[in-house]
Amino acid sequence: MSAALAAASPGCRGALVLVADDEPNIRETISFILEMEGFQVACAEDGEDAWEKIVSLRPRVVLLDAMMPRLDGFSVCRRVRAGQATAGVRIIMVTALGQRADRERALAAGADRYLAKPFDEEELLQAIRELLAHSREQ
Amino acid sequence: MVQFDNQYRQVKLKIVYYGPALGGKTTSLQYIHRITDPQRRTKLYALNTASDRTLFFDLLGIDLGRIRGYRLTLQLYTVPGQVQYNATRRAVLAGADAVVFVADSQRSQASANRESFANLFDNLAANNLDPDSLPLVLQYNKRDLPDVFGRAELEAELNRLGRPAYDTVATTGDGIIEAFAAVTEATVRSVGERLGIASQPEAVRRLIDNVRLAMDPLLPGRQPGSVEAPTVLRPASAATHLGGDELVAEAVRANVAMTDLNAQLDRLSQELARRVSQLRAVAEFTRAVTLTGAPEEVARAFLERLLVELGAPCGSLVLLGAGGELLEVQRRGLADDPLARAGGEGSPAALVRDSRQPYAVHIPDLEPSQILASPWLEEMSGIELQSGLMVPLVAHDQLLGLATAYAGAGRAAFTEEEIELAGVFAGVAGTALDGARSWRQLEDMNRSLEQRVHERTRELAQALERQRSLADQLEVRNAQLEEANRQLQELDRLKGDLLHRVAHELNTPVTSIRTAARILSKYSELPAEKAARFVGIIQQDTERLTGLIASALEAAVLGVAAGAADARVVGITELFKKVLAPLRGELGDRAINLQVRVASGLAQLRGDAAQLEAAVRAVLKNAIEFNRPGGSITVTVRPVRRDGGAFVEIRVEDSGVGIPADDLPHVCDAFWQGGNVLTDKPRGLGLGLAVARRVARNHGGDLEVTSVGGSGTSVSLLFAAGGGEAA
Repeated sequence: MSAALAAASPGCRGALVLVADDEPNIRETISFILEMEGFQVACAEDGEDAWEKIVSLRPRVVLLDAMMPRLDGFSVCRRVRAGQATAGVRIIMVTALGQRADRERALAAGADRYLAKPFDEEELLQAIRELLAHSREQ
Repeated sequence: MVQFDNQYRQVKLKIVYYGPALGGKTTSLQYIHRITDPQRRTKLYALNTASDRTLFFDLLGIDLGRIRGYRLTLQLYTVPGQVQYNATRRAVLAGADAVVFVADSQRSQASANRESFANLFDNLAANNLDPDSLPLVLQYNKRDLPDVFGRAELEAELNRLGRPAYDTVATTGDGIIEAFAAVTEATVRSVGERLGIASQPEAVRRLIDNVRLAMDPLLPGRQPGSVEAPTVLRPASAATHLGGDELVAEAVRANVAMTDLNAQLDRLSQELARRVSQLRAVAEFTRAVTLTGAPEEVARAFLERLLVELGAPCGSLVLLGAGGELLEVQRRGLADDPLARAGGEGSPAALVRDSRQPYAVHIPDLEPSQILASPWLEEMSGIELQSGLMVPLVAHDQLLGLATAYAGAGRAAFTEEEIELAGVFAGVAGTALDGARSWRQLEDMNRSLEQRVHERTRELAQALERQRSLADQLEVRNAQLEEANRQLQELDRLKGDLLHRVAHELNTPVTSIRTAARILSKYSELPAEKAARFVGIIQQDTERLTGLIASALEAAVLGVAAGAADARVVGITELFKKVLAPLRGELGDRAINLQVRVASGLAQLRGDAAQLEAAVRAVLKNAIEFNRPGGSITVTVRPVRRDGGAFVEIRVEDSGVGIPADDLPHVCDAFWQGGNVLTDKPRGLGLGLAVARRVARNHGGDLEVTSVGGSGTSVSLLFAAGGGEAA
């Protein structure tokens, strides 16, 4: 899917995506791409930070790294699903290990999608757009 | 006239000593009394005048023993010799079974003898006694005096019937016993015919033997004592012997009855005394046998007591078991006891076994089949045994044994009292023996029970011990299993953690590199500074990956090369220069103050330079990584001794967060990192300390970590002073 197509999707333009990862290089590269594709982007550098920003910014989609200081991604995910105001936030869980157990764990915690590092940026964008389209249909 | 006394089961044989006055009748009786076994006779009673002459009669009773259940007693009477007492004489003579006529041998007494002899025949006729069948014995007395008739003259004058006659001296006793024995024998024979025992000559002979034995002054313990004055009784009847015949006869009868009663009384009191002494003996015996515990001791005590009480020099005891089998034989004064052994039909032993009653045996009467011959008889002949007594030991109707006692020659057969006593003894001994045997059985049972209880207890204790030991082993095994399980779980967890960390460490830079590269290729119109930034990210993370791969390779190489330390001289200053150079930037960034102190005189150590550098670098990187910004690191290099060996120690102390006590054992494990795998930011692959320890061990030393959580960690690298050739 091209950037033009993504930009053409009216529901996607301007949607807020939260990138939660403790690696600054990851945050920097991913948020740059998302911005280039027309999304609004916020960043969080650990689990607590991510939870606070989810509550305060209400992002449409969260890119949530599983391994983060202070609060791990799985826990953040469970909190999001438990909270009434946050339950509708779409979550893409990112782990360093593409194992089936991690995938199941992520989905069990309430994640909508699951990506294993290293992921392809097209893969990521596709997942975000699908989630946004799905949520709009609802 | 034989008198049967059914009340006392007594047969009285009356022998009257007849003769002229002062002829020696009373003196003869006194002598007989004097030498007779006191057990077998009554007192000598006299019913005298004031002038000490016989008024009515003298009376002496002598026990002959039993026959057919009746006790045979001789009653010896004298009559008054004076002519004027004829009525008394006639009355005394009434019912006589035999007469001893005591003649005075002095010539001066010829007419007195003649008159008295004629008077005897008159009175016999008056009493309806037949002189031809009545036993009559003559004593020619006073043969020691001068001026006496010759024997032939006396025979011709007095013994025309040709009866047995004896020369006697009553004052010394000469001939008295012979005359008495002769009249007794004749009396017993005569009476025996009437009692129907004449056909049993042995029984008659035994009675006579008993008389002899009762009177033999030569027997041991039977030395005649001094002459005993007769016991004088006051006549019971006031009637004078000078009165009419009827009156005199009445008076005599009354006095006989009274004397008889007196004798009876004496007998009874003697009997009583005997019974008391018997009871005492029985009591003592009972005490003796019941106080001895073991059956053998009871048997021994019984035999010894029995022989003592019976005055028997020898005897034996055969003990039988429940099935009649022979258990034990005890003997006293005998090498063998064929009487006890001979148990054939009709033998004394068989009779006792069957009847369970004591049995007295007159040994000379026994048939040869009733005893066994040979050594025993020879032995017997030495002590001339006359009488045996066999006694059964019985308890609960079971024959436990058979005791035999023998009386030596020179004593009469066992008396009724002795037999009775032996029976009582045997009864007591039987009961005691039975009790002792039962007790022993109980004791045996108890002992065996105790033994079994003891064995069972020991078995139980052993079983318990085995069980305990098994339980202990199980517990140990269980603990081992739990520990193994825990380690497995830990390993599993470590494996998972390791995968996550390694994946995270490797995949995170790969992700940024890839994304940055995609940005650079995708957005060609990027401003220059932005493009430079992404190139910088690519370079940064590429270096990071390179470092990770290098340290993994280093760990792999060092791990495989365990022990292969190349020993060369390494200068300490050079070592630290090389190690610290790449770390300066990081130290500066975090404002960590590092000091290195080397002990004076210590300039170099031996080892593999590359390995030593890697080890020191790993420890220092940890100290930097886990330190706080603005913290300090102190490195001390000095020689130390551990367990007798010389080492060079490189100690690195930091002021960092420290290591919790639980984590200390793991800090050297490869890929191990403290904290939570999900939330703690990984710092490398966790290989540093594992590499450092490997190097230390390769150099004959080790790595030591001490830490207090929150206040820093101290890591000591120890290298053998010689360079570790020994390792």
